[in-house]
Amino acid sequence: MKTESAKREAGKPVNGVAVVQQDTENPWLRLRADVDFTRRRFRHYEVIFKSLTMEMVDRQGKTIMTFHKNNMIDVSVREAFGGASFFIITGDGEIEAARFSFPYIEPYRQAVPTIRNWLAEKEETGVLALPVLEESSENDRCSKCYKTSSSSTSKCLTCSSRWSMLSRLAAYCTPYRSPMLVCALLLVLSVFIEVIPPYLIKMIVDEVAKPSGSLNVLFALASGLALVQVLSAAMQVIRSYLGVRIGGKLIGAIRRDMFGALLKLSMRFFDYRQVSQFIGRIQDDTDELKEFLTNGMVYLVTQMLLGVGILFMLFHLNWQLAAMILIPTPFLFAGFYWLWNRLSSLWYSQWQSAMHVNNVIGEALQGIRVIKAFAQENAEKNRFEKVNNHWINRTISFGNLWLGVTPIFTVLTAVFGIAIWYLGGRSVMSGTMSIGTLTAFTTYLLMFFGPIQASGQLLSWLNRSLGSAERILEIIDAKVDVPDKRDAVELSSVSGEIRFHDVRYGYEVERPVLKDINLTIRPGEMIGLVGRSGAGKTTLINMICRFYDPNAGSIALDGHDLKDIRQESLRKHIGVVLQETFLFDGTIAENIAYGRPDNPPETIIAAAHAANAHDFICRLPEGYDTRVGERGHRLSGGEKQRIAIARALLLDPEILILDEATASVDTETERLIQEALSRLIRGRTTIAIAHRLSTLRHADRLVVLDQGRIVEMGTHDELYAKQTHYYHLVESQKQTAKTPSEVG
Amino acid sequence: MNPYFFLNHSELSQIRLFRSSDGILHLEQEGKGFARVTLIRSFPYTMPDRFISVRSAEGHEIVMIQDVKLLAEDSFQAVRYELDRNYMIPVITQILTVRKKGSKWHFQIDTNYGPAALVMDNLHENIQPVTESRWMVTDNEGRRFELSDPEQMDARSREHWKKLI
Repeated sequence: MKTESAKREAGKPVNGVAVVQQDTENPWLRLRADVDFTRRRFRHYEVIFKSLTMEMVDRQGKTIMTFHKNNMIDVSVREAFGGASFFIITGDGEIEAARFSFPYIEPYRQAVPTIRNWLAEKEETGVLALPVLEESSENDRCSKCYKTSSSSTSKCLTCSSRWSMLSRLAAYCTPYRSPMLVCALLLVLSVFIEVIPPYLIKMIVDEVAKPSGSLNVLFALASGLALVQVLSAAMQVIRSYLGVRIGGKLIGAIRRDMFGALLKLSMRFFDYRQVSQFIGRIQDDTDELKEFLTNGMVYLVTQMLLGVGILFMLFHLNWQLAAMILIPTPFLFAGFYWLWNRLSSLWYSQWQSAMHVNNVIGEALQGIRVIKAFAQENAEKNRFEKVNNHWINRTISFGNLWLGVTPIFTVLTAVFGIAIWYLGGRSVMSGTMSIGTLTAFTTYLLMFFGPIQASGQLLSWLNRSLGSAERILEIIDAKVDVPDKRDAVELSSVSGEIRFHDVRYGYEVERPVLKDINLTIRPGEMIGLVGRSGAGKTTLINMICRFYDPNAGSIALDGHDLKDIRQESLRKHIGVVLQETFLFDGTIAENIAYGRPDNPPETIIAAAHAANAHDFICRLPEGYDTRVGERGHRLSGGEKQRIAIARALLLDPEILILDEATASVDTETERLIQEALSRLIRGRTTIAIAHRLSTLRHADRLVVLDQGRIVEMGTHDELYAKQTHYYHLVESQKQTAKTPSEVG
Repeated sequence: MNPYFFLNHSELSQIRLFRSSDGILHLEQEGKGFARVTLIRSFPYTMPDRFISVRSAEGHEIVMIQDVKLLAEDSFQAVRYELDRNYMIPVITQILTVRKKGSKWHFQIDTNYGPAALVMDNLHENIQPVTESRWMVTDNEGRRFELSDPEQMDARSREHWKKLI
């Protein structure tokens, strides 16, 4: 009975995760692997856990290897570069059971504790109700096409074609619906009007050629022609006026959304990208798109309508001749198709080259001091030269494509025009067609070839804009790694208790930087984080700010999981003083009041006072109105630091984070900063990292990290007396203090 | 060169690396034995078989092998095996097809691990240069592939590659 119900229960999703219960025949856990480690080849197989055995089964269901539970002591996952291996530890040693690439690592890691529980269970207990997390990527699936959605975007792009992408962008036009409707109406009207002149010319020619032609009729026709031209010009003006206005606003809206999307993205996104590219991308891609959405779209629609209108007139004038136009059409379409694919890849690679150029410029400017100090201007110039040449070559190959295509179009249309002249002329000579009709016909034909000839250019335009649209959406849709839950709570006040529970995190999943972190920080407590560089101190701090989410385990503030708190609300309660203080373009007062712009001057001065910054600010001729930041007055490191402390004081957060706040300043400045800090720390939960261990001596507790793990915890005296990790760190620092330091 | 951790040829041929019957990698040097040693490539792309750092279970460097070819045969095999496990980056040998479906790129490639199919959101982020003629290709699932020296690939692959980068 129990087995029956277990079977029924199997696969039933609980909280979106399929739970399978143990059964004697059915596996209770399946893990996939994709590398055959004996042959070093890709091969898909599964590691299956049954109640008494662990088996490796290939895709055909054939068992490759079986291990009995009794022979297994432990299991482990060993990370490699690009993948990992699953090991079982037996009495005879370690055996590699499976090897797999990156996407399969996490399920194994998550399964290890459960497998250990399974190994610990006595055999006699029989069927166990071990709920196991089955591999499930339910959350990553698209609701429309059920395909796994990509890791880097929040939208499933498999089911969204280019056209639906365009329609999303067209949604930006919604606020301008009425002026755009006017535009469209004018467009249809102007196309209609544009078709009239050749017909009027036909009537004029026929009237003139007629022996009984009347001057009055001629005058009326000529006036009609003039009126049509005036009307057409007027409409053009109105259309352009509306186009420019709509275009300007449209591009503004897209740029705004792109910038908004960039700010919304998590730190992780920026960790892996060269940020200077986004300046160019926000400008160029939106510009490209605007050009198309306003001018391009109008042009496309006009030409299409015009083509249809002219075709109608041609058939109306002489259907036999007009039918000839249809002959080259299939060839044209084939040509367009060929061209489309070429254009697409050419545009993309040209865009990439442009981005590389942007990146080189951006990097050089950011590192200009180093470049100059090492006299590497020439090396940088050469680097630029390389990417620039690449771009040039791309542009040339693009030009070459047009060079080849344009003459073909020209010759094709010219030959066709000549044929019409010949055949039409013959009809006129045989009396089946009037001269006027022939004139109109050839005029229409020329007009008709206009759009056809332009269509190549149009194709390129469309292609380029679609590419830009794609890359704009790439940013707007980029997946936020640390998203706010829909029901995330707002914390009005916090007491400041921070609890780490089994936290593991790695910037790259296969290389954890923090492992098994269990730590409870009491409200108002001051914690000093100690450890060698690379031990994971800054990462730990980043986790508190929720710049990243743990790969496993959880972090809670006052009992609320950080993931359940609105990020904006969380960070309002956290004040940060970092080693490097970034000052924004603005006055000192504005910089101190960053994050709280509505503060009265009294509190700003009070904060500066408490931060020991007031005196140096007053010594500046422009006082609190001194412009600082990229284009302003240069403050020294210690001065900037005190601005940062004032900023944090003004914010009055319950939690305070100090990351190497006193590094790289002289002793006197350090004293001033220390004094300011001690005022700041009072009554707040503080987590501090300091290079000089002496500055952390008064911390309530020191947490010693080594290779991502907490190895020691206690007060300075306790840890020093233990003579292990902390003691060694302190002693080695004493040693370095004795020897004269190198530079600065 | 720092004589402290670079060994000369005769010293190198005397160190012994071997896998014990329980699957653990050992190092023996001048009569001293180290169990559970790990190997780290200093230049995983440019010189995968040179400058291999041998580290103790605690992570301290014991020796630096300038060139695995200088090791005795059995040590060489043990090192090979361990490095293969530690570095699972398939090398792309051929680009069979490149297709753009919607906004995604679909690649069929052949690697030294056998054929593979990749899906990528874009190329400007998923294909990154690591050295002058080496690229790291990361697909949407996070799998990584190395592409070294495109000139060595066949004409069709080169043709594809030229259009991409």
